[in-house]
Amino acid sequence: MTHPLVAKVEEKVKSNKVVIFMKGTPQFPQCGFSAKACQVLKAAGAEKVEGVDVLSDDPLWEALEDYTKWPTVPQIFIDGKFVGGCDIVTEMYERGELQQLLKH
Amino acid sequence: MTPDQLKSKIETLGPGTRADIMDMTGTQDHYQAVIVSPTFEGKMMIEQHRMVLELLKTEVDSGEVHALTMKTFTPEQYKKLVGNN
Repeated sequence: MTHPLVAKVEEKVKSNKVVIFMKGTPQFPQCGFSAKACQVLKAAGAEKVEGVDVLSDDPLWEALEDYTKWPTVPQIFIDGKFVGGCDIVTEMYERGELQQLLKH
Repeated sequence: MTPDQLKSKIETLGPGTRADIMDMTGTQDHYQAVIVSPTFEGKMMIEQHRMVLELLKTEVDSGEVHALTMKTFTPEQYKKLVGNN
């Protein structure tokens, strides 16, 4: 059965250009991978990064896992689409693909 | 799982798939893989990674492969990358 909060996750990612589900906030990340992902997004030209702290909004974490079937955080969404975690956004940044997604 | 076993398994992903495996810790469970496959064509990076993880589901779930860092390329992307060096 789908987690009842999946709708909340979906609403969040569809109403913001860039969303990161992370530990801590973009200003005060509580995990190295989350911090790095935020830095990479900024470097790639993201103007506003909407952060969701999975440590303070715990039930959302389970819903997120149900929604993406991806077991780790951070998880980054651009234009409502799940793009990946820290490794993937970093690699996409190095290839210039992340910058493309963040244009417009 | 030995590097050779991992390589063979990943190369069953599709025709023309090539995998280069590095044992990061010498313990045969933390690996880095560079994977070039025509199967990746037209797929987002997250989808490419998912394809590989799906293929290795048993080994990842059992902990036989504890960590796998991947770099995935289509043959065309890889050619471009190597050409630049």
